[in-house]
Amino acid sequence: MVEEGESKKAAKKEAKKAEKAAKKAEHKATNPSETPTSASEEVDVSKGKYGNLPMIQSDPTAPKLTFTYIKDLNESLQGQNVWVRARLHTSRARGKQCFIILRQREFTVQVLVNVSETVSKAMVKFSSNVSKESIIDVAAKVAKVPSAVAGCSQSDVELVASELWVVSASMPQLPLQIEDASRPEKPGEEDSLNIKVNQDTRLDNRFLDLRTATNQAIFRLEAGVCKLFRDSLTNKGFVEIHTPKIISAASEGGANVFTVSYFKSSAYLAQSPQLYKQMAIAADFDKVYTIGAVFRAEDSNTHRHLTEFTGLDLEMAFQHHYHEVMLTIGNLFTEIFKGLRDQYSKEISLVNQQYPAEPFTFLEPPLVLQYQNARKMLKEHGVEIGEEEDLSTPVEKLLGRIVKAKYDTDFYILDKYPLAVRPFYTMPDPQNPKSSNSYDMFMRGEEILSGAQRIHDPKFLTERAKHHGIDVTKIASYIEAFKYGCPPHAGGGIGLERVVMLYLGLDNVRKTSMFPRDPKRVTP
Amino acid sequence: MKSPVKMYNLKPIVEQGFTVELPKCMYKLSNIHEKRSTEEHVSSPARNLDIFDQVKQFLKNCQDIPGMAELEAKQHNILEQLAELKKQISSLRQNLSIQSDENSKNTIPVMQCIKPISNANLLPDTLVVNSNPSNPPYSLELLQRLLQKQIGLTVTSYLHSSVSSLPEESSKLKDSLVNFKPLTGVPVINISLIWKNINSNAEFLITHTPISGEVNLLRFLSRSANTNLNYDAEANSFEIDSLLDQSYLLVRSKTKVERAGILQTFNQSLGKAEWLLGKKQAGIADVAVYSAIKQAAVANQLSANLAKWYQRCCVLVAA
Repeated sequence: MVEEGESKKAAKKEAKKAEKAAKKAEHKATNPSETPTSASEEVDVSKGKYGNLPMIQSDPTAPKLTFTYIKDLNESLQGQNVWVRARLHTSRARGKQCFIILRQREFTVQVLVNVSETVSKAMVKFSSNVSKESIIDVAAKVAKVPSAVAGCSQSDVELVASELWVVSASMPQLPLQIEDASRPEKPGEEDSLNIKVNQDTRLDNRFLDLRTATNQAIFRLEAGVCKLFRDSLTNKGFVEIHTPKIISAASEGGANVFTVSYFKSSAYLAQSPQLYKQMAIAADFDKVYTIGAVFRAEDSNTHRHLTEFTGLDLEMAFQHHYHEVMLTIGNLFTEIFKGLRDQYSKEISLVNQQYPAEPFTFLEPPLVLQYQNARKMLKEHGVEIGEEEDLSTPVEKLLGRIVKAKYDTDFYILDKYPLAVRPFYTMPDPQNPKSSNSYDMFMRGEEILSGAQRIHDPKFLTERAKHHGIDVTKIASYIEAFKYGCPPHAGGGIGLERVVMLYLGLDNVRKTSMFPRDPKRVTP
Repeated sequence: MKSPVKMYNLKPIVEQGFTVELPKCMYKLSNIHEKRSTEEHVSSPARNLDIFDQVKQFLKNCQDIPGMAELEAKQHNILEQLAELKKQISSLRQNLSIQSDENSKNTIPVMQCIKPISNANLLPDTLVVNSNPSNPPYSLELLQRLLQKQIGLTVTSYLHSSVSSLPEESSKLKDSLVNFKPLTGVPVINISLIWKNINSNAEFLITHTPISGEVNLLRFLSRSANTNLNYDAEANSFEIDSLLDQSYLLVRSKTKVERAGILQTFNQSLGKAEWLLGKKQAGIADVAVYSAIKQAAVANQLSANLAKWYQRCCVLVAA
């Protein structure tokens, strides 16, 4: 019975399938006859003016076209024919017209594909079906628009397309929409369109996320910080050095290092280039800086910690007083800030459109506060800090607010930290044994640089290491470097991502790291 | 007549003894009260209406009411307890050595003006002064020299990020201020001079709200320290204040006529004396006016006397 029933069902299914197949075949039979007839009825006038371009393999015989950048499109080019290669940002078909917005970095322009004597309906249809984020070549005439095109950076002109070729098509389904990823963050505004892209979604699809105008600006500015750092220090007579990233022993305290297998033994990833900077000083390089990756195996999931970041480190020998170095670093920052303010104002305003923040303020020369004075200021605001106590992160933020209210500066230097809270190689203050020749620098109330005069005397260094309970045999190579004479020196290092984040007033360091690494993310 | 409950006599709320002139343009109606108008509906009080007397009377009448004595005794008790409490509190106060209100009232008559205890300590050790680079506060350089024997004003100059570069005039002033070395042994006040894009010519911060105006800075500096620039005790202190206001107006003035008027008042104040307001030595008004004239760049429009005075100021600065 059961088998019979099943077979009956199966038979029914078979019958249905056959029916469907028959219908399909019928449809197929009628369809191809349909298309050619319609084509023959209406000759495609723009055949050969649109389509998918064969893959560009650098064929030497291919015709050479000169492309115009979108940022250069303006009224002066009115009436001219131009070729533009750009990304299709959005497209929207409306009857016989198709409006396309092309995007090139932060610049956008509107393209109109309009049915006319030279443009066929089929071409318009093809244009409207090109998926978002595809790269297309468009040949078009620049035309002035009667009223400004809203939402385009080139608002005074539009392009009237005559040819449209797809160079590299995008998948129609995007993991995130570029518009969503670049929507401004305005707290307190409860708009209907409040779609936001999650930080993790952004990072998983970083290649798409990076296409937003904001991210373009952030990473251009980041490059600017590096360039200004290099230029400013080179002008001051510094030498750029490169230090190894695979090291045999932990350079600082010893904790928080990544272990890597190194042939038959193991090695560590450098968590600071400090030892090598100091060796360069001991080797008479006088003033050195280095830019490179720094690794910290800290399992802290905060808005400001990364396990790999770009360190900008410098070390400098001085004559009499470590303030020579401290002020050099302070002036370096002033120069970087001034350079950013003067040369990157467009990038800053672009970022502010999406992530509004107060402009970064600073003083020239930078404000230097003594630790004791900072304690006094904090006490006036009801926070008491012991003489040999370190500042906690919330207290640092409070101090930042106090300083900002009093001096209106987001950048300042805090000098003369208590000796007890600094590493063993920090030189003590000659006038106050509880104090040390060390300094921290702050941006918007967050510490960005921690530096000090280092002890350059091997005997004293050993003594201090013992005082801190550090196994001297483990840092033997560090002490070794100073045995054959070393000039007095001081230095410090900053994290590039953190500086950019704080300069722009962003809330997360992952926004300023192109491919951030944290305890929970090693991809992409 | 003895009624069970006696009530107080009350004054009538509405006086009824006057005649009302009735309008003639309306119908006449017979007075509905007329019948009774001859007889009093409220018995007029025979005695003087004193509530106190009445209460006394009432109480007298009530002597025989039972429970009255009891109530009286109770009240007496309460009063005694209160007196006891007062004694305790006053002894407590003596122990804690808090002056009683009566004593303090005796020491300070209400109308007496309390003089501020003026010494240099009233000034904070550090003072942040924001100043507009297009209106440099020249008063500071004069003040530095005038006060040098009492207070050492050391100036650290900062350029705020809202200003890209310092104009020449401000830069000159900055050098003059920063290079000034205070005498040893005098209390030092550190002034952080921040060149910043602000609306007024200068502003400074004591608490959270900035106080703007260079003359207000001068008022603060002169009044919070017991120096020879303190003008609180002087008889013509409001004339000085008025001169300070005038110098503020001079900096803000836009037309030549306005400026000429203000300079005229300065001239009158100077008269033929050596310093403004006929003084023997330079005062706070001189500092303010000097700075205003220099800022408004009207040194060449001064009258002969004023020009001589201006020269004296310049000599002071150069010294």
